[in-house]
Amino acid sequence: MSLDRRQLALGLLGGGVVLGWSRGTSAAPRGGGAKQPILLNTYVQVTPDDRVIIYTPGAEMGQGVAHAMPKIVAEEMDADWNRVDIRLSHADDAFASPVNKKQRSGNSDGIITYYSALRQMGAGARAMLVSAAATRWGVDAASCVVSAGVIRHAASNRSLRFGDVAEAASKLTPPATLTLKNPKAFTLIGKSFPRKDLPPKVDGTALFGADVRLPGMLYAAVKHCPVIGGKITGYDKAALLKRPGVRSVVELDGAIAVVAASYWQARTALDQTELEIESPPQLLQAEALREQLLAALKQDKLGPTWPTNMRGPPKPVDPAPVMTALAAAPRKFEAVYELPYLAHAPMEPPCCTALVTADECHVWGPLQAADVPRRLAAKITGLPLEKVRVDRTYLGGGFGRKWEDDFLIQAVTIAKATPGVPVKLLWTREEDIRHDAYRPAFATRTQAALDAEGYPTAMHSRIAGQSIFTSKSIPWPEGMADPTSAGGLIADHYKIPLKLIDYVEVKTPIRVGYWRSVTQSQNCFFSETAIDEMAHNAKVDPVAYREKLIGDSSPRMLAVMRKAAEASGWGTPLPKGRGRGIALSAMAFSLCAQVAEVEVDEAKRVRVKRIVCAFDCGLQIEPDSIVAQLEGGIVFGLSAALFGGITLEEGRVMEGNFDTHRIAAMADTPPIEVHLIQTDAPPSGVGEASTPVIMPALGNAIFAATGTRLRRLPVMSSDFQVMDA
Amino acid sequence: MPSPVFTLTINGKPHKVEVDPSTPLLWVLRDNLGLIGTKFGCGAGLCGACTVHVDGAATRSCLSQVGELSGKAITTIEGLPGADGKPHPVQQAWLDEQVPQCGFCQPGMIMAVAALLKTNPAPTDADIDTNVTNLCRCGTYVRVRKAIHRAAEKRA
Repeated sequence: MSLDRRQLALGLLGGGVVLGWSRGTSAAPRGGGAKQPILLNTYVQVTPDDRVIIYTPGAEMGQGVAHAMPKIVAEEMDADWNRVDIRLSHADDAFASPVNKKQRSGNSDGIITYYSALRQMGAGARAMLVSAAATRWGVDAASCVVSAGVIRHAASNRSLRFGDVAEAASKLTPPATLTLKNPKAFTLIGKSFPRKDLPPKVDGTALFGADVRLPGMLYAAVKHCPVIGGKITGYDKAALLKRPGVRSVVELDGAIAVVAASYWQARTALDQTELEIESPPQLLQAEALREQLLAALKQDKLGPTWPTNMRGPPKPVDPAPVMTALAAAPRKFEAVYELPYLAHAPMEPPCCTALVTADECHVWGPLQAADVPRRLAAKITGLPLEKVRVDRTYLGGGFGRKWEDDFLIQAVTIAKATPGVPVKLLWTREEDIRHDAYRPAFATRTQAALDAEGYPTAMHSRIAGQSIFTSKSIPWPEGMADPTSAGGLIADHYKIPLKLIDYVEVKTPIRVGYWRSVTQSQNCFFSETAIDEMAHNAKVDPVAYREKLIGDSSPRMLAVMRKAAEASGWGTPLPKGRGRGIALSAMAFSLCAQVAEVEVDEAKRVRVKRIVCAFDCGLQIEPDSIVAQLEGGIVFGLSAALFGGITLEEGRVMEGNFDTHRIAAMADTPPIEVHLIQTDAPPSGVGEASTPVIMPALGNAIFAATGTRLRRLPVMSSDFQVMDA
Repeated sequence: MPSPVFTLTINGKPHKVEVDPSTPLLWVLRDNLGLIGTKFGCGAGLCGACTVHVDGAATRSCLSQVGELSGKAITTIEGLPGADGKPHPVQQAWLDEQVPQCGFCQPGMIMAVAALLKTNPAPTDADIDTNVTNLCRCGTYVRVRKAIHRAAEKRA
């Protein structure tokens, strides 16, 4: 992951991004008329009646790319925002980011990887429109100005709207060099205004994955082998086929699917079908999995290391200085921390619709990636890529779950077995919770040599757990720790002279994947809890302790920390039973600090009273959307901190629906205050930034309130209880 | 064997559907009638994404069997706006506060809140905690709360 981030940074510095001008396959203009869109480039179409249609290359899963990305285009175009219509993009190489060559939403890198491209697309469209107007007037293009979708030639007092010149503009190509706006001249970027994807989400017309309806469509339900590592060995196929509405049964990898005339018939038929299971020799058990992690922490041999300073290419780390320092230290800190497997549980369970014929494949789904699903569908059907169309609907939550391929592969496989008939596959909530690609469980051990004041001079943090890269067969450099496990385990912004991170890979058949904030989702808790413990042991205020450790390494981190502290009233007295905890995180080039304030009563019931968040993401595209993402990311992380955890017994996931897999509701959500800090840096990532921070902030607050340190989450599984409203 | 035929009154209009009587209203709305605004989130009455009004009361349609709904007035998110077609005050408050993120849970949330405000036009924060139990994975609760107070104030 971190390797990619450096490449992203290069893209951010702009200038060198060369955009292949492409018209892609966005529109197949038919007929004519005032409403007929005229294609200017992949992202922009203009109608003669002056609507500006802008495609977002991103997958809209709540983070607001259906708003922010078109806004960037509209800014450079000087379009009239009131006349802009947004569209979601289908899979097309023309929509790939020129920075990473991908058409995927994840990793909080949407704006980072598309900012330059979107500006250029907008500026290029503008240049074409101005050129067309100038030609019509017989004037120099440089003498024309554009504002809110109107092109003016002041000297002759003439004006034309975009729609008036769209046809002529579409025959032109943009100039080789484009002039981009000075950010000081932005009229849209940096201002908050209503998102265009919200009205359909409020009136019920927004189409999500399960909302696709096609003539003759059938419905599929799926049931996976409930035992991890087990096999389905039999079921009464004849009886299943006789159930009302059932048309066919399709055997999938580790699952069976029923295709029926209605979803309810498909689902009921499957619910009533017993699966014969052959269990693996060893059944997964929660306690044994935990023991496996703790034992891995104790191994003598150093595991692959993670470079603790990512400036420059990764180099092998020499452990000797840290080991020597630790061995010689008169004062030491040591602690073991643990975190559980976590499920994504987006409100929209996995679903996908596919139609496969001899010549074509068409997929509609709530997919974070567009490029990979298209290639997979081509591979499964044996069709050439150009005969495969993947349309992305709105996603009812992604969080990394809709990055996974499983439900897409299933839908296309089922559709291939019913050629010429569209099939809509829906997962139940139980299948979603029990057959997720979980955030792995981890255990860490942190050891630090302390100076006379209690500050770390050397730190060795070891992490044990499953590798997402192994689970996905993604290779990474030999001798290096899996980035998704080990990255940021000791934060870069702390100036600890000697740092060592090593990783002990633990292998289990449990499928693991990217969960909102990925590496930081576990390492922020591990890192910020350890620092907090050391601060309290040193009898130093946790904010002051962090200030000293950060030093001059990150003025931006100091600024967010101080803002969160000040806004939360840090240092002001609290009544008995209340406490404040602070935590920091740097991810996707953004910086986040949070203070949680909790109340814990004598019965050890915890209530979160207030959360304050300070955040710096450089240039803000849509401030209100950023605030919303931070609020929501905090609730997502709070859910995990209070309730989150997947438990295995006899090889089966015990949780199933929202009764056994509790997530935060209104009553669990305290007031959340967000403070955005403006800096001159390029726009950096937002979608995942706030999720990791609340977990250690909460644990640190509970310690401040009670003197009891939680080294494991969730709170619900500890001696503490979560107070209901 | 053919299924019985039911007449359901939805958003003021009668609809004939031929389904097994135990079919949840949720699936009849979505699959038989194409009213896709009502969403499937859990199928167990736990998340509220499927909330509709039955005779004015907030009802989780994933647990309401069609066979028991004859003669009842069903309102879905599509039928929430008034006769003038303007957004319901709750929908307007949702837009004013920019509540939705992914938006999947919001039709159910809006239906639940619209029903709440009919019986409790000025809910306190504690009333909201107790009565608004719809789940939102995007975590829009802070804005939902603001929007409820806004809609309540407007109606006052």
